[in-house]
Amino acid sequence: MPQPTNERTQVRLTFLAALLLSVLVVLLARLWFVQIAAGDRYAEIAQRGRIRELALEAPRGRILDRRGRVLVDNRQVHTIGVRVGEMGDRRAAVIGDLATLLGLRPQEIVDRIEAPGTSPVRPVTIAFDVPERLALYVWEHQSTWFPGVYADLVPRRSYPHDRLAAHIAGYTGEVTAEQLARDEHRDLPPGAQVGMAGVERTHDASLRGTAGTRRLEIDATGDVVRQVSERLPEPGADLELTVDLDIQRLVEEELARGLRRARRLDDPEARAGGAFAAPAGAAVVLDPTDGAVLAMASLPTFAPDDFVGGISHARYANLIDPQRHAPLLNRAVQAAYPPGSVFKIVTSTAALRHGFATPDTTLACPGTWRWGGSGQRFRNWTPADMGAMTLAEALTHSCDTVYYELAERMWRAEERGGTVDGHVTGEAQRYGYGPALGVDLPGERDGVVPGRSWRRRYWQEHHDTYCARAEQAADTNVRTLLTELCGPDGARWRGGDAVNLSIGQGDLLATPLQVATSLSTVANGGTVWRPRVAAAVRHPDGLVDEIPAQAVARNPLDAAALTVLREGLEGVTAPGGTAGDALAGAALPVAGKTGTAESATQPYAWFAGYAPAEAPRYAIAVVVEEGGSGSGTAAPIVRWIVDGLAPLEGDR
Amino acid sequence: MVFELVPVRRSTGRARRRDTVLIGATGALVLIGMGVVSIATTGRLDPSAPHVVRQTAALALGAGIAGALAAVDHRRSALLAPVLYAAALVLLGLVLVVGSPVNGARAWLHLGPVQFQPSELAKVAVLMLLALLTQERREPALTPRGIAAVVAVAAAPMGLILLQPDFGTFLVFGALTVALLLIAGAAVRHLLVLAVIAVVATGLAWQLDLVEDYQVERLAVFLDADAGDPQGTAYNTIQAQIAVGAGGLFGRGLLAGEQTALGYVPEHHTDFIFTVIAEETGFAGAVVLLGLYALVVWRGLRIAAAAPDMLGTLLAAGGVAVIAIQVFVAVGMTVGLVPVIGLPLPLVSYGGTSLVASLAMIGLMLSVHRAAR
Repeated sequence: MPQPTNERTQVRLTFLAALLLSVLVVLLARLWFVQIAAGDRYAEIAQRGRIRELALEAPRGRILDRRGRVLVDNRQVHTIGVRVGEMGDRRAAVIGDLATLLGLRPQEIVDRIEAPGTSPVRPVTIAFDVPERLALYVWEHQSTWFPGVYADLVPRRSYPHDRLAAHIAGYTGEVTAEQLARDEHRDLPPGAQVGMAGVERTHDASLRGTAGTRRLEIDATGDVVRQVSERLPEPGADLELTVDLDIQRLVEEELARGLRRARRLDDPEARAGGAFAAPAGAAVVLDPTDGAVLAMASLPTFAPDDFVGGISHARYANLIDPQRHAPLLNRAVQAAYPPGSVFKIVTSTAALRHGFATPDTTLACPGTWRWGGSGQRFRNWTPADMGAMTLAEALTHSCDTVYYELAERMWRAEERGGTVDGHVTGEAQRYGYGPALGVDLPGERDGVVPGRSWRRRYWQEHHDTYCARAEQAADTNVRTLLTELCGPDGARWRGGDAVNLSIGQGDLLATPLQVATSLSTVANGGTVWRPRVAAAVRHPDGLVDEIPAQAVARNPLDAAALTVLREGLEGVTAPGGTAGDALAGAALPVAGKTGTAESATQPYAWFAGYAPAEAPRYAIAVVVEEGGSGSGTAAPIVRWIVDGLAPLEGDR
Repeated sequence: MVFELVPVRRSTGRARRRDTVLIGATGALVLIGMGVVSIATTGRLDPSAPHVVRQTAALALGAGIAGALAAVDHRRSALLAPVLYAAALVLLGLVLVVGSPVNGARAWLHLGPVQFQPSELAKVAVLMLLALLTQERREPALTPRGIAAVVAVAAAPMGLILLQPDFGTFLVFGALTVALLLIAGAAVRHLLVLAVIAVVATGLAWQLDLVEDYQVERLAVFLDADAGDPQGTAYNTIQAQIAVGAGGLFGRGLLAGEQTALGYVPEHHTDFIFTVIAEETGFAGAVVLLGLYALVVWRGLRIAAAAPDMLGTLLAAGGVAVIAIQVFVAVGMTVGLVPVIGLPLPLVSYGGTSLVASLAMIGLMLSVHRAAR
């Protein structure tokens, strides 16, 4: 060794070296003993796999409705899986016997064993939901005929109400590789069941339990000698929903009925073969006092049971196929539509709040209206002049031209005052339009509330496309429009934009949940509740975690504005109002607003309201895609729902 | 794998000083680790396996850090110690708040796709800072006050690590502290007092219920394999021992280690990686592996002895101690020599932060070597 730092240090280093050398000797001696002296014994044990570990899956918590009724339950399912490594040289024979037993072709089993994503270290499931006698047969003859084949009993989801509330409940599936890489699922073993949609997904951590293990000692012939240890799985917590299954069933049935009815209605403009396509729709019922979702329906829907045990690619592709209207899509939160005239509630509030109208102001309702009195022409929904009316009456009769006039007044004031975003744009956000509300369901999308800043941002993102398309456009009108949009003027929030926004058209988009929330906000006088579908987590030990209501915003509406809105919305459902035919004399008095939102194809039919009008317990929104008018298609659905709600209240 | 750890530069007119034996042994261990991680996670040798790709990224980072440390005079890089130490403390505190629990311990920070184990950074930081402190305080000999200061510096990160709880890493810090005090010249009687204090503190922790149940259980299982085994600790020990034993003299052949491949042994790409090596390459393979570690230890101690100053001696010897205790525990727990504590096999186990930390310590040794008289 070279010269040490000093002698004392060298002594101490030598001591350390001696210590480490002796540690090395001890390790080698022990390895010698384990690997050479006793190696044969261990090799024999290893050959037999003397101790076998079985994973015991934890049952997920159940999903209950607000009254404790079971929406999603568990059942025990027999499965058959294989560990190829344990079959040894009998692999071909074992697979052949297993195929015969299960009525499969041997190649099908081989395909499943060799499918990508399967792991050599855990059993590959070959058959799911096999009859008990087959499972027992495999179990009894495992050591003789079926080495490496396991019959297992695992908990899986069952759906006593079939498709009811499928979008809310969601479904489960085997955890994917990407999910395992993320934080929330980091501790899960491959093959674990996790929530993939609905509350199964958003409340997965509560519903999922903790898996257990059982270790069995196996003798040389492969028979179980004894149980070495067992850790029982801990079941997940039950999730209590805010949803009432009776109301949910009622809403789903009446929405479906409304869609069927719309398909028989004549389209006055004879599009799509004369009737309405009405392929899809959504309905939401909220408790306006706390944002609890009492019912949420989206059509078309799906059967969550199809996902139990794995779903085929073809079947899954159908469920997300836009041509089939993507049944997996929860339209109540994952789709956004122009809300049409329902939005006049917002425009009215903005005009009242900022003094552009008072409860007593009367405005003309002509059949057509011109910007600035002589500019671009905009039509009312009816060519007839309906005479002067107050704001409340404008809501009742859904007079577009009144709102055009208000839109122009507000727009001009904004331009003069240099307001960044307009009165209506700001008001919309106070009603819960715009960003997603934060409901505890996956994939809730944002709405769009256009305004000056939105327009500028949008133009910055799209103006290259406008310019490119302007050069290619064949049609002169289209080219003029695109050329304008290409220039700096394209970033301007124009009067026409404000006019469109005032009646809920143009670039405005909202989810049905947002529309229901906006009516809930009228009903409770200005509080935007964060909608929620889960009410409480019920732990197996009896502890209950209530999930509290949360307000997104509180902007109390002043009494005068409330009076105008309530009077106008109550008028809508009275004889002579736009929904008078459908809703006058309903079992609970309804206040609300129709909407007929123009689309590229047939109009989207809306009705959104609350009931009972004097002390609201329900806020309701219904939309039917390509369904016709709000008064003709959506309002009757709400009538059926409200008539069904009244008798249900007696039970409580 | 070729390491260009030392830039082509002559400072003293002598030949470039590069410990090729240390570099070669380190490279061999890292290569073996890559291969075994691939086998343990995918069942074959696959350089594109996700774990191997991540480990390779960590290797690139670790080699870069080691190269930088080797190129800079250790007396200058040691000045980084206070900063690293402060950063380590902050991150160790942070991990208790926002860390995600893995196997019951909050040891990991997740920064997007990157996972980071602050306790590994702390290993290097504490090594450097303790070396800096002890070399300053050693004249004429370490006083009880000096020892207390050193212990206090070590105690802060140790306390935070115990809260995770990560008992294995806690032990590594203890071993490091004792080794440094020993080399720095603390009186043996002072070290004995320290040992008594440690025993009493452990007893108190036990009494005050500060020790996690699973740790008590692991110890109980180690002392008596028939003790109850709800967590499956004895099962893991037995299965690991079966795997090692089944290896025999020359092993069951690469990729033929059913005991590990079929999932009987847990964590077989991290803490229990030695079982894969022992099962598939037998006693012969284990001897080669331990021989490589012996080379690292030998060269490290040789560098410590030839160091130009006490700081260099402490840096090299401390690195040796950290690597050696980890090897002892990671191998010992697979053959029933020590309780299941859970430590990675340095340079070999899967785990990027651990690899980077180990390489950094090798880099420090190389730096000391370069400055040797």
